Amino acid sequence: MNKIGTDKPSKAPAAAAAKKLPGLLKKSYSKEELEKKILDRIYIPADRKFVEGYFTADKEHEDRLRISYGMQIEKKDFKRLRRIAKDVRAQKFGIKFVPLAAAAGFVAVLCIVIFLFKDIVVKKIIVSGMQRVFSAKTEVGYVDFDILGAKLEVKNLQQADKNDVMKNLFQIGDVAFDFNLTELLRGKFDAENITIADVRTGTDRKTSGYLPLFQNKGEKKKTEDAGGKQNELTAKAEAKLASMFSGYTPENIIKNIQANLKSPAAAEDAGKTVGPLVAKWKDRPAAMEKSVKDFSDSADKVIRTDWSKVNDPVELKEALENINTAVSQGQKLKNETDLVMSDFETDSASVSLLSRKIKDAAASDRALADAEINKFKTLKDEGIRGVFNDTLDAFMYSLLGKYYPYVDDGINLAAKLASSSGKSAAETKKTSRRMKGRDIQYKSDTVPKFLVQKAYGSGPGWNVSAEEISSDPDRRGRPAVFAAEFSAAGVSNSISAVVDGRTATKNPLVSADYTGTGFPVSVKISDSYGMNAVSAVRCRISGNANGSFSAAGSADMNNLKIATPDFEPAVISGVYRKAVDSFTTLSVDFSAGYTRADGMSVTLGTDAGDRFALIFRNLLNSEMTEITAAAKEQVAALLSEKTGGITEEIAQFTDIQNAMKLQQLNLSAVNSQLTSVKKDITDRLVKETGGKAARQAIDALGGDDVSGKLKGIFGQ
Amino acid sequence: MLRYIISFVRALNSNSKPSEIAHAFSIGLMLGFMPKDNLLWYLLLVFFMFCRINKGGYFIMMLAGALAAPAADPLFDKVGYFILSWAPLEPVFARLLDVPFVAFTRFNNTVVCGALVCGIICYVPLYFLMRLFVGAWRNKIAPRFNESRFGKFFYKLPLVNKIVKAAVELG
Repeated sequence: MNKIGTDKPSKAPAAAAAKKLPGLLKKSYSKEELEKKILDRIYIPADRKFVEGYFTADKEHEDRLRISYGMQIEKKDFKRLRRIAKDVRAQKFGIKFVPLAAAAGFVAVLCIVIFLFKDIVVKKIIVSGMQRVFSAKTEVGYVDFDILGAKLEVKNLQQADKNDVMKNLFQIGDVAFDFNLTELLRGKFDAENITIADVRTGTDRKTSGYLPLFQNKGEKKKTEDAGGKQNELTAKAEAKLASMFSGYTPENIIKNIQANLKSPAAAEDAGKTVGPLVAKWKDRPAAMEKSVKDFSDSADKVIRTDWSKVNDPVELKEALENINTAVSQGQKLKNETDLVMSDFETDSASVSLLSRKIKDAAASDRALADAEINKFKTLKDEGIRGVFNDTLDAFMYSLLGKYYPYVDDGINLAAKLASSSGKSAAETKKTSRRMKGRDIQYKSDTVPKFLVQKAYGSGPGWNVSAEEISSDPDRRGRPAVFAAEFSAAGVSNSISAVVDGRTATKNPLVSADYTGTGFPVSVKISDSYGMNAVSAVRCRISGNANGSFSAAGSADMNNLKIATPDFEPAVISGVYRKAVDSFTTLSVDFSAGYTRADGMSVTLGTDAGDRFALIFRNLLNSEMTEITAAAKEQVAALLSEKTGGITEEIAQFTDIQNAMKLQQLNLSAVNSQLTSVKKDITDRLVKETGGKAARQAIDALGGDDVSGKLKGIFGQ
Repeated sequence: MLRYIISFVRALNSNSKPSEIAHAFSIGLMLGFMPKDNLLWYLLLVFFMFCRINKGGYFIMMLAGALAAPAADPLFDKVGYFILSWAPLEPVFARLLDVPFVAFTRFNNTVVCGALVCGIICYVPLYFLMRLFVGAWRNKIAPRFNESRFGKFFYKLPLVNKIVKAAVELG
């Protein structure tokens, strides 16, 4: 074991020449020099004694001491001497100037590098910060950061729109910062004045501004939350529509009527009787007509003869006999016809009964159809107001969901600014066990670590101003104030906002007023649901540090175009669509709120639902008139189809009846004429044969056997 | 850490200047006391890296000072406040604060200022104490310890043996 500071000689034979010792021990010293340069610098007594023991009188200089040049020193002692010499040599002045100078040089080079590359560094910081805020690419054309001149100039700054990556959210031609260099070197950023010029919005980009890196999960969730609510509302509206109108389809009503018709059964029943009867009697009118016609033709000569000009009693006698024959034939034919008609009347009574039954069934069916069709008139459309309001709510959720991330980002940014001092204290407590201490200020220090005292930008159609943007509003004692007016793409916007991050204030963290005209509203919930309008919007937003915010305002929308999906029944869907299409203006008072715990809520105050319901009702009534008429036509056609066959058969039967009655009448007419002619002939015969005797004979005969009686009178 | 301990043990048992060890202890304590969230601490740390002091003692004492500092913070705060609010010095401090970059040192913080002042106050007595200790160690304690039975047993301990060997190799 090597016991440091002790002298224990070794028996090892190995030795080294004294001439190989370090220069410090090879030199010749006076006694004083030896003390001062070597022995006084050896602090371990054993080492001092050990070294001193090797210094002997110098042979060349009598009064001087040195380690003998030709001496052989044991290896172990040699090493010890060398180590002691090293220790002595290391005792130099307290500061290492060379490394210090090298470090200073390095710092100087670093400063030069920073000076040379400061513009690139600032550019990177701007791009990185803005990309983090806007979640889309940021491009900066030129940056000049003049440290000594306390000026920063940025040119051609383009911020892409994350929702339309081929467009810029805004493009700024020139931005100039004048900052307080003294405060900056005290670790504070104090921008005394900021001017912004040549700002354009919605400009086209040559390259995509998509940036996948900053699509953070929180934002996605926010959008999903809003999407969930609007989808819930649209689903509710669709379900309500479907349930409201599901029973009101003409097809269903026709089917219902068809299922409950009595006419078809009655017609079928009647068909079994009427058909055979028609078949039975269909030839009878023709046969009767022929018989009557033949009889009429045979009697026609006698009837048409002018018996007043005939004076011959014999001829009259013959004529009387012929007439009698004809009358007899006529009587016989009449009797036959009466017999047939009697038979026919029995069948006719059956047909009449069936016909009445069919008429009664048809009347009942028509009453049923009227009752069913009248259901359209009692259509309950009270819920349509709610349906439309739900649809509007869904659009508003979507609209607010679209702008909500910006509001949330703004509030988060304001919250960061507001609580930076308190937050850092809390973080310090977490990471350090040390006391924070107190910062003593000797002047009224009103400059926080970050301060923009005034910022102003203007140009054709726009102006922006901001005051007192600071990381410690308590120190400034004033809230940050923002105001902007700008017109772009036909949209006039006016915004004024106050961010009050002071700890003692009772004001909300953010309160902002927005007024916009020509504001394009474009909402697309799905392929089926969408809304486009040009709107004038007035809105007041209040946000708190916990991320919750509320918004209240109104929107007057023109050129409103609402797209909603089709639904069943198609008829009502058509009416609904017409009503929606005719709804081109909309005034909405809205209030919206968001809390991290409860999510988003929207309340709309509008008469849109009532107005829509009125339009819908009027259109529906008009449509119902047409639908009712069409349904009645359909029912009439249906009834006609179901009872058409039997009605025709009944009509045939009636025709047969009429034809037969006509022949009966014709026969009666011929018989009447024959009777009249017989009377004329008889009168002529009486007159020509001598008066009363003949008359009495004829009368006595009763006219029935006139010719036979007359034979006796005439002797033949 | 073991390297710093070895460096310190070696320095204690070699012919390095006692003032190097004493300065290292004093500076280490001063920096250990000070909070580390200010430019002043880093400037002092870097500057003393270029001084010929025993780095082992420097870092050991810095660690010891840092461990003890939270307990002494109320004292530092009081001392710092006393210094910073001492009227004759206020114009100086006020002017200092207007000097660029000086604010980064946070010298106007009561704990920073108090720790620095307490470190400086402790510097002188600690320096002399350490010089006395080093002298006593080299002249009296070490020779006796080495010759004692306990010392012989101590040097035979594996860990101590390793440290001594490493110290010799470093030397």
